[in-house]
This record gives sequence, structure tokens and C-alpha cells, in this order.
Amino acid sequence: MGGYTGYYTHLGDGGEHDLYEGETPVERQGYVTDMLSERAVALARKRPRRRSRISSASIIPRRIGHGRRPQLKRRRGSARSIGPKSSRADRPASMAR
Amino acid sequence: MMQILDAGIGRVIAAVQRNPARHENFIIFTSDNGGEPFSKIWPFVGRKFDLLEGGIRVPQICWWPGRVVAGKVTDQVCITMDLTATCLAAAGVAAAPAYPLDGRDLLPVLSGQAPTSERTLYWRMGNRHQRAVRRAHWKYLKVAEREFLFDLAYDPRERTNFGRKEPALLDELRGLWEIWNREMLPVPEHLTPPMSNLAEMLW
Repeated sequence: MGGYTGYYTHLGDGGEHDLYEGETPVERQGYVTDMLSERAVALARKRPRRRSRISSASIIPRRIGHGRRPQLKRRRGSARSIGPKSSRADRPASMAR
Repeated sequence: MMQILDAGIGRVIAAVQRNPARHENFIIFTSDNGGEPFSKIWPFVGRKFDLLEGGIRVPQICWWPGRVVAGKVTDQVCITMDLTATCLAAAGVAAAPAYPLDGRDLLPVLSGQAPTSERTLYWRMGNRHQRAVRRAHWKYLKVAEREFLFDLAYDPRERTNFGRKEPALLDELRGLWEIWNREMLPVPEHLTPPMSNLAEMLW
């Protein structure tokens, strides 16, 4: 998902479907913040044997400004990184943020 | 919205704490940039896409019983990229020598084993060609063609420009930024709004 996915609609800023399992588009019902939390819980319950890191990036608090934001691009991320991926719109030319 | 986030964090922490090796759990809560419109960022000024403190200051809570001192607030200046170095140190591994880290391991300070230390941090932002340097409590900021020098200890709201009173310091910090900038990848020439010119900017 991008940075401005609708909380209930799971639509991106351009109105496109914007909910993925890895790279695969999926249809789910739910409030996206809860869905991300549940996914993090599921990962934690797997009790990995090796040292691991979970990054759960909830998209709140944030307004969803449909039509006002540039189209966001998704990046490939690791299986354990859930939530909105970093986008060009989120970090224009800043190397630090 | 915040209640759901709060409850979700509680569920995630409960899940990781069920791990038999829960004493090894290191939990960090933070944000990626300053406030969006309608965020409460007092006392700071600015918002996301600004290099004013309101655009770059973020909350950060670190939790690791036995390793991170409980209930302590530190004045250590730090930056999100420090978390990479901190997490690698927490895992007991080193970064690949060919890929040196920009950040610094925060665990010595978080564990109370080391005092806070002075940092010099740099930012640049396509929006209005902003530049910023923070060294100790001094901050150099350039927005479009205007330059500012703020004393964050005296004036965290960045309303008083000390540029004329401390011209040598302003020159020094500007010089540091330019040296740093030469080490960075070039800024893309063609940036679209709001990356290049956000009309709602303060200046």
C-alpha cells in the first residue's frame, strides 16, 4: 500500500486499489490500522528462532486527501515490513527523513 | 483513530512478550516526520515538508527492560537513521564495512552508560530548496533565498533570527552544510509540487 490508503476503502490517492499481500493485490474488509496490527501480531506469534525485526508502520494520524496528492509508487519491501512503504512524495530530496 | 493505534500497539507488544526470549525484545515507537495539518506540534512551528522543527522533530519512545533506563527523558539530539545503528548494536552485529552507517548507536545513552554528546545533523529538502544544519543548540536554516540562525535552547519556535548578530557562526554552519552536501547524491532537477514549491509554506 502507498502512503495514503483509505482506512476503509483501501483505495490509493488516485482511487486505485491499494492493498497488497507482498506484491499481490488482495481484497479484505477492515480498518487498515487494525489490519496492520493484526498482521504484526501474526508475525510475532510465529516466534522466530533467529533475531528478527518487525516494522509496523501505521498510517495514522493522517488525513486521506484523495485527489490532492501525487500518485505514489510502491517499493518492494521485506516480508516483515508491513504498512506503507516509503515513497518519493514522502521524502522529496531529503536524505535525512 | 489514535485509540485504534494505541490498542493495536498493545496487541503487538502482548504478542511479542509471549516469546520465551522476551527479555531480548527491544521496542521503539516513533514517527517518520513532523506534523501533518491538524497535528498538535506545540511549541514548534512548521509541518511536514518544512525543515523547521515542526517538520522534522518526532516523538520517540524506546523500551527494553534491563537495557534501556526506564522512565528517563534524554536531551540527546538524535535522528531516525540512528535506529539502524542502534538495532544492529542491539542484535550484536556490525554493519558491513563497505556500507558504513550514517547513524550512531544510541544504546550507550539509552542504557545510561554514556553521557549525551554533541551532534551535528544535516537536512535538505526539495521544497523551497531548504537546507538545515543543527549543531548543539544552534540551527542554520535556509528557505529559498532566506537564511536564518536560530538558538533552539532560547527559541524552540524559531522566531528570532540571530543571523545578523552571529554572522561568523552562520557562515560556519553554512560551510558545514556545503561540505556535507558534496558528499550526498545530487538533488533531482525536476521535482513536482509539493516537492518543489509548497504554497502553504510558512515563508
